[in-house]
Amino acid sequence: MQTYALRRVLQTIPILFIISILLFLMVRAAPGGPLTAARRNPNISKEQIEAIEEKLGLNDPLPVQYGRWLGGLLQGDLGESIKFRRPVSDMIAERIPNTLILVGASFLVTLLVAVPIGIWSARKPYSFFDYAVTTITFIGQAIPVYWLGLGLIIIFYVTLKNPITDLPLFPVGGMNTRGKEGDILDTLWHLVLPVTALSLGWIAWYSRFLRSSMLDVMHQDYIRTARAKGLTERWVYYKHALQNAILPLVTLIALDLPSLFAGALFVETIFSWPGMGRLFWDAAKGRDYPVLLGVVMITAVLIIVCNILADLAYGWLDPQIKYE
Amino acid sequence: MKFKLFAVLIMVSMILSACGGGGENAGVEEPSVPQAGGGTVVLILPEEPTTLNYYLADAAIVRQVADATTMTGLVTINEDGDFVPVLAQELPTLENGGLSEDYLTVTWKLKEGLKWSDGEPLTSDDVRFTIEVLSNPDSGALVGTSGFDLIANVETPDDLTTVITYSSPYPGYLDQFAYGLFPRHATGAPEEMTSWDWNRTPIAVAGPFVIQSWESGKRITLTRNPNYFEAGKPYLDEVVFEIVPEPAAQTAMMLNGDAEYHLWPGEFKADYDELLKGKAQQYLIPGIWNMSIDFNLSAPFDGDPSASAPHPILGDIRVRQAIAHAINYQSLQQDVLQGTVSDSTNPFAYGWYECELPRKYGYDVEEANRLLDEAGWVLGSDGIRVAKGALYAKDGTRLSLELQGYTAFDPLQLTEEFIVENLRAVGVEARIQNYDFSIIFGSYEDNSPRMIGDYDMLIFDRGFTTEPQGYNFDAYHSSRIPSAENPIGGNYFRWINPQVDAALELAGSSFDIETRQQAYCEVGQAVIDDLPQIYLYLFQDGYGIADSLEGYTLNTWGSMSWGIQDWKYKQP
Repeated sequence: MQTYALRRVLQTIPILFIISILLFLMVRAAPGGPLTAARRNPNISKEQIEAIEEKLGLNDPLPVQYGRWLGGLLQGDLGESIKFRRPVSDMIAERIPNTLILVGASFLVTLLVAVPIGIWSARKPYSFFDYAVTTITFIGQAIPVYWLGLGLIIIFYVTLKNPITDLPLFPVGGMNTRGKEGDILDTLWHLVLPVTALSLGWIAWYSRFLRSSMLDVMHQDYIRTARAKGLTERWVYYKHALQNAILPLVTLIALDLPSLFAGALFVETIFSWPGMGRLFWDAAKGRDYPVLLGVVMITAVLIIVCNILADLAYGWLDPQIKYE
Repeated sequence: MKFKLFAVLIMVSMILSACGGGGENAGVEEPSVPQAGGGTVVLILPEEPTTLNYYLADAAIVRQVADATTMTGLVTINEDGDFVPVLAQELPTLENGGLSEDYLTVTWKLKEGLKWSDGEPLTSDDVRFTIEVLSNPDSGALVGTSGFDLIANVETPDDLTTVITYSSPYPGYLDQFAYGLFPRHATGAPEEMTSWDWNRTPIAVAGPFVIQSWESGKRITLTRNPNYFEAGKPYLDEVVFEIVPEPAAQTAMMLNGDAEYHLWPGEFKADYDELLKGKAQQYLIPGIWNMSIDFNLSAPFDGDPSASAPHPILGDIRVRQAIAHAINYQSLQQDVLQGTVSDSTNPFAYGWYECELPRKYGYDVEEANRLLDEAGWVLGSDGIRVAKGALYAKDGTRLSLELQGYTAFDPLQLTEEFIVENLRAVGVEARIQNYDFSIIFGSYEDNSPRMIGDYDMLIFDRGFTTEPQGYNFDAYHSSRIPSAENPIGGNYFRWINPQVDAALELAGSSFDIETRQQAYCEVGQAVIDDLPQIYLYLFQDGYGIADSLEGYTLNTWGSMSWGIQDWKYKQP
C-alpha cells in the first residue's frame, strides 16, 4: 500500500510537467492579451502599450516566457498579477477560504440530503415516494443554476419579507453584512441561498446515482444468500447492500472534490461571492496570465491529488482491491 | 387557540429576524437613516477596480472609486467641460500671468493650509514629486502622462508656488494636473510606482474620502477625510462601494434600498424607472463613446496594406453615400436602442471641441437607390445588386460587403442586425462577422484585419478625452496609414485628404481654443462630406440614483463618484 502510494505520487511529477506546458499554451492561445482593453482606451498611447508589453516580457518568445514562469513556480512563486500588481499567491489565498466555505457547505448539504433520498427511493422502487423523488430530481437536474439563483433572489430577497421588520428574508449576496466580518451566524445566513442554488443539482445527481447503485446491488447473489440465511431485511439492506452500493459514490465525490477549490462561477457571480470561480473568470476576461495560470495549475494539482485519494480510499473501503 | 397561533407567528418572526443577523442591521445594508450631513451611501460596482491609483488604470472602473479619494488635483473638469481650480488658487492664464507670453512657463499657486488626509502638509514639493513620477519613463504609468516629457524644469520657491518650464509649448498644461497629486511622504520611489502600497491603501489623499478597508472581491469602504480642504465637506460620513457582478442582483438591491447609487444599470431607463418608482431613477448623460461604421477605402485582400488601389465597391463615393442614405438613424436610436443613445454625425460630439454639424446624407431610400443605379449597380434576381458598368468593380460583382464588429456587446449586435436590414432594402448585402474584442482591436503584428487592410466595413465605438489631438491625428492624418513600416498607424480607412492633414497640423500647434475647435470642425465636416465613416449615435452613460439623495452632479468627464463631497441625503 505504501509503495503504491509513493509510486502514484512520483508518477504525478512528469504528468504535472506536461500539464503545465499544455496549460501555458492554452492560456496563451486565446486571442488578445492583458493590454487589449488598454489598446482602445483613448487615454493610453500606443507607444505606452508597446513599452509596457516590453517591460512585462510579453514580447519574448513563448518558450522563454514559459521557462521564466516555470522557474518561479518551482520556487513556489506564482508571479504577480498584471492587472492588480499583487502576488498571485496572495490573491488565491484570499479566495480559497471563501470558496471552501461555499462549495464545502454545498457538498455537505448535498450528501446529507442525497444519501438518505437515494437509499429510501431504492428501498421501495416504483413507489409513490420513488416517483415523487424521481420527478423532483429530474427537475433539479434540468434547472440551470443561474436561473435558479435569480429565482431565489426574487423570492427570498425581493418578494418575501419578514412580516415584523419588513426586511428581506435573506441577503441578495455577499459573504457578510458590512461591519460583521467574521460573524459566523451572519455568514451562515448569507450562505443559505447560494448553497441552495448550488446543491440542488448535485442532490439530484447524487441521489439518482445512489438509487441505481443500490438497485444494482440488491439483485446480486450475496443479497439473496444473506436473505436466505434469515437476516432481517433491514440488516440486509443497510449493512450488506449499502456498504457495496456506496463504493462507486466515493469515486464520484473524489472527482467533484477539486471544485471545492476551483469554485462555482455562476453561483459566485449571481450571489457576489468572492470565490475562486470569479477570480478565474475575471482573470480570463482580462487575460491576466499569471493569475489564470496560478488558478488552473492549482486546480490541476488538486484533481490529481483527489484521484490518488480516491484510489487509496477504494483500497481501504473494498478489501477485494489490493495494491501491490 | 387563536392566542397560540399568534404566539407561534411571533416566535417564527423572531427566529427569522434572529437569522437576519439581529433584525435591525440585517445583512443587507440597513438603509441608513437619511439625515442631511451624515450617513452612508452604498454604490454598486459591477467589477472590482484593480487599483486606486488612476495613473495605473487600464479601465474606467478604477476612476469610479478613485474620484472619491485619490484623484483630487490642482484642477478638475466640470460638467460643462470647463477647467475649474480645485487645490490651485486659480487657473494659470495669460491674463493673470500664470502662463508666460511665450507659453513656456506655467506658475501654479496652491490654496493655503492644504493638508493630506493623514495631517501632513500638502505643498509645492508634492506637485514637484507628482511631476517627477509622471515624467519618469520607468514609472509604469499607463495613463495621464501626456506632456510630462515636455517639462524641462520645476522650481518651488515657496510651499505654495510651483513654476514649471516646458521645452515647447504644451496646450494641455491644465489637463495634465486634473487627475490627482501623489504625496511624497506616503508613497515611494517613482520607478517603483507599480508596487507602492499607496495604490491599494492610499492613507494620504487630498480627496473627500479616505480608504478604510478593501475587502477583495467584496467591497471598498471609504470614510470622510477629516482634513478635506473644503470646510464642512464632505457631508456624508462613509461611502461603500459594493462589488456586485450580477445586473439583476444590482437592481434588486436598489429596489430594496440596500444601495443608493447604481453604475450602468442593465435595464432601459423606462423599464428601470417603472420598476423602481418612488425609490430611484435612471439618469442618462452623454458618454464619450461614439458609434460609427468605418469603410475601407482601399482594396482588401490584395496583400497591400497601403491606399494604392481603391476598394472595388466602397472606393466609389456614391456607394458610400447610398449606404449613408439607406440607414434609418432615428429608428435605430429610438426604437432599436430605446433612446439610450443620442444623435451624432461626426467625431467631435462633445467637449470643448464639439461640432454641431448637420447630417448630410440622411435617411432617404429613394436617393440611395438612385445613387446605386447611377453608380452602375443593377438589381439582381435575388434582390442584391450586381455590378454593370461600375467605377472599379468588374461586371457581375455582387454588392456584398462584410460588416465586422466585436462580440458580446448587445447594443452593437442590435445595431448590426438593423443595418443589415436597412442595406438589404436598397439591394446591398451586408454579412455580419463578429470577432473577439482582442482581434478587432489587435495589432498589426497580430494580423488584425483593420490594421492590414483586409476588411470592408467595421462597426465600433470610439471615445476621446479632453485632449483629442493624439487620437485624431492618428486616425485621420494621411501619414498614419498602417503598413509594415508604420505598424502602429491608426488611419485604417486609408483616407487621404490634404485639407484634413493641414487642419490636424493646425489643431496640434495652436494654443487658441477657438482656432483648434475650428480646425477639428473642418475635419468633422470632411468626414461627413467624404464618408470614410458614417457616425450613427453617441452612447449615454446611465446611473441609477436613489430619490433620497441630492447634491450629485453627472459629469461626462468624471465618474460616478465625481463631486461626491457635495452629496447628501434629502431632509425628510
